[in-house]
Amino acid sequence: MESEKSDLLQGTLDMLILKVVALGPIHGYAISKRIQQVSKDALQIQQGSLYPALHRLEKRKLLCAEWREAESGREAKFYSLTAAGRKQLGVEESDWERLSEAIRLVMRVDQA
Amino acid sequence: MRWQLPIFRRQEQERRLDSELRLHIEQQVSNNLLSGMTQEEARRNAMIEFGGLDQIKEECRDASGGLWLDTLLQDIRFGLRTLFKSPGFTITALATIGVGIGANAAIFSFVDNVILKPLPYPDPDGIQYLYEVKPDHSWCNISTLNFLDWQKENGAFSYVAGNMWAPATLTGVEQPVLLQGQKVSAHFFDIFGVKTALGRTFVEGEDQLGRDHVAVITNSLWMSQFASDPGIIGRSITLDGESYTVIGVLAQGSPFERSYYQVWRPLSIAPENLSRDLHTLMAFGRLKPGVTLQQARTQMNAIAISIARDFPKSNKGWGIGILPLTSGYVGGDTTQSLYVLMAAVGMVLLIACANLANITLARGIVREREVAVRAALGASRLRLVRQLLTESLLLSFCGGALGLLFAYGGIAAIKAAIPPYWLPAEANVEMDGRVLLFTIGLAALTGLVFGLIPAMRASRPDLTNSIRQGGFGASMGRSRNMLRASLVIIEVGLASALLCCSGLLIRSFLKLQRVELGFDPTNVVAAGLPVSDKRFPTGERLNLYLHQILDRVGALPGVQDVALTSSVPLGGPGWGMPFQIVGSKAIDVANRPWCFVKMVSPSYFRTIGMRLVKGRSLNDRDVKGAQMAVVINQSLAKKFFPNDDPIGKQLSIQEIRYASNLFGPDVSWQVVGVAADERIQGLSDRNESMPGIYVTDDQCPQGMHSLVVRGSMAASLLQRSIANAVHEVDKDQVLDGMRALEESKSESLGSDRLRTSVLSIFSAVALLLSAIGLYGVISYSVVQRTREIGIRTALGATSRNILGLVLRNGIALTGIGLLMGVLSALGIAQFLSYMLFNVEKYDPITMGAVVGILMVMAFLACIIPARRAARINSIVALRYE
Repeated sequence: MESEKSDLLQGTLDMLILKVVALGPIHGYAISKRIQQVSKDALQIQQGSLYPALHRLEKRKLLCAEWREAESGREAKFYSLTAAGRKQLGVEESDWERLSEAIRLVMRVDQA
Repeated sequence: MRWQLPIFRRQEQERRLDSELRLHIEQQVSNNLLSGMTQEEARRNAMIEFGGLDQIKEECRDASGGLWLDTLLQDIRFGLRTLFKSPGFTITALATIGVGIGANAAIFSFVDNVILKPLPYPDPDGIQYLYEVKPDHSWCNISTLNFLDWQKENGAFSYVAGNMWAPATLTGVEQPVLLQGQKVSAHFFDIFGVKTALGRTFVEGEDQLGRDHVAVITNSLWMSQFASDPGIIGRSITLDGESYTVIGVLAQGSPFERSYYQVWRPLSIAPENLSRDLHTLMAFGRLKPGVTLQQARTQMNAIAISIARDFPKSNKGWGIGILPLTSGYVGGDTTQSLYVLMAAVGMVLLIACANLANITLARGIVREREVAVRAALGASRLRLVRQLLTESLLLSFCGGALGLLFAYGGIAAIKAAIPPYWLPAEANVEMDGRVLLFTIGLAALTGLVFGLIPAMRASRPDLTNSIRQGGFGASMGRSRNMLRASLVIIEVGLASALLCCSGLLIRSFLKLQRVELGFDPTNVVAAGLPVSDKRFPTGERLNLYLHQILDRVGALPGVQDVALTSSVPLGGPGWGMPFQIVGSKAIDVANRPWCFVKMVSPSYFRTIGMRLVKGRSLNDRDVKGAQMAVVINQSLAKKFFPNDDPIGKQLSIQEIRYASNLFGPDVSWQVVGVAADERIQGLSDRNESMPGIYVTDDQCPQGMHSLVVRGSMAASLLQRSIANAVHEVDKDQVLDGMRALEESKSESLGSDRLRTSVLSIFSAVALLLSAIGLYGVISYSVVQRTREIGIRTALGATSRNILGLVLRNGIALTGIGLLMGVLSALGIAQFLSYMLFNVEKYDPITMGAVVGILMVMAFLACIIPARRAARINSIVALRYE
């Protein structure tokens, strides 16, 4: 299981978090589960990376947080995108598009 | 968001962070339960998957930022704990820094207030001194008519205001008292922008005769003599028997409050005092806005030239001098003393820093394991440096706070030690915001200076070596030892340079104290005995009165001799007059040489114990009507009669008239005797040689006399009965500032005493600090070399050999430092040379003494560790590791 886990590219974690949070207010555990599910278990987010990243994004005012009741009935910290966060997500998405396209092109050359 | 105290906000943040992460774990647990694990398994797996809770928390804290304060607090807490754990080190360090910083803050407050700060007057650059320049380029007071011309004709100054010394006896109060005062032109206060708390200062026209019976007094006089009477304005007071209306009381913080003067009256010039020969006035001017100093000088020059053309007899060759107040209000002597002291305290602080760096380095070695463990656990180098620096800054700031206390005491002590009015009135020396800022800055700098090197060193430990119990290997820490040794050498160097300088000053001071005074101050007291010119119509009547006092005081038991003099010994020249030798080529008054003139009772020479070199003394037959007789001093005899016998020669001097400021025609005085020079200005004047003459008060009566009394017992015991005797003659007679001549003598050395004693104290501190430094280094090297010493002992070295080994080590360090220190002292002594009296800059006795003192210091500092080394048991030493 350990070996299957992909190392995330530097900076991609932030983008993934922003993307997941863009779907609606969500708390930390749910974020990691959602990423895991959507990537079909290919991406497992280490808690040691997730939470510092969340706090960093909050500090940069890309995320805002709110405490409210979670499904379990306990108070949980729900993150949502700020306007700046939405903009940042757009920028990172297009960057990523360009980057992955570029990498795809390069890889195709290699195969041929 | 609700506003919260940072500390509560932090707690809240912590709580939330904790619950956020715990929720995550719990959800993981319930998830695991759902997938069929047991409760225990589920929790265990969740914890493992989550990883180190605290570590994640720490990273979250870092990520959300704003927590540098937190780290700082943590560092400070840790630092405090470390410091508390080694109280010996902490107390030594605090005391060292406290003394170092305190001394600097104290001296800085003087330097700042006396030299650096702008004068406490509005637009101080516009205020100028004005004075006459004699043909020989020396300065002179201004004659009344010249002054009036300057005032009228100049276009460069908004105001030119004259001032002259004008003490006055205040009567109509409990005890008549002599007030120091000035007579000033109407706009004098406007030039300085000095304000009153009550009433006003003088206005245009009040310095004219008839309107001039008004007075401005100081706030402190108002409090002391008039019990802060709120109705003082308009109240009439009696000064020298005449009535004056008080029109103003100065504001409390005014610089004039710190001056010598207590009362100001308008300077009106009576017609009989209008003269070009009577140089009684001093003057200040305020430049008109936009007028430069150069323009003012050009203009005043033109005025001087036209006066000289119109009145060549009195003014040929005379000029007008202008000097900005900002450049002249602090004497060069004061400035130099302060700079020397500032440099000295700076050196003391450097020594203190070197010492602390040294101790901290030593501690760094002891703490090497701690640091290494922390580094191994993942602390970054920056974090370690920061932690160690926090500790030294913590020390330096606490030491700085302590230093403020020292400085507070130091300022008070120095102020108490310096002679009154030695500091310019403009300087209000106190602990102010600037001194506080300076201290804070200095504390920060100190912490960095002594903390940085050890911190850099300690944060780069050799991990594996240090963590192993070892660390005391024979070859270990060579470069660090070099560093510590060089620090000690620097300390010794600085200390010996300081010692050399203070040694030179001490030698010079001792010589100054043995300077030939020309009189014997033992058991002599002097007191001002002012009598207003207006009180007696003639000089004879005045002298009758004065001689009554002389007789009454002379009859007191315990009084040996009593005399009158127009100027007390060491009290300055008093009168000064142009003179010429009869029979030589006639010179007009403007170009004659000057001599001081003392009007004395014939008993003066006997009373103060002056030595007659030639001829006779003045006596009771030198009265009005008899041949005018004068005793000249040796300086005059040497300068003006280098090859002749002066006895029988005549001096021609303008007649000094009683109760008039105008001089009469030339009078011839016959030289009857030559007296050995008496010191006129005090001892601090290095090469005083002032031509002067003595005449009897009968032949030249005047009202500003002083009484000098020689007792057959300590003069202080006589003061009361002298005062009583004087008051029996006249209960309203003022006796001003009665004091022993010994006191005046020591006060005249105030400046020398101050810098000598303060510098000596600082050098002693420097010596002590470097002794501590040396002791530290040698003791540590003994501990380090325990094994080596053990081997030597095992191989047959005697304890004497070992003792010598360690001592040689210390002496060598001292010797290098000493050499550097003495060499640099030779350079520094250049700056001291003008302060030295009869001592060579390269005084071998001083240098020798310094070498001796430092060698003794080195011996004392090394002997304890050396003996400890000599007692090392080889068996124990070899098992040491």
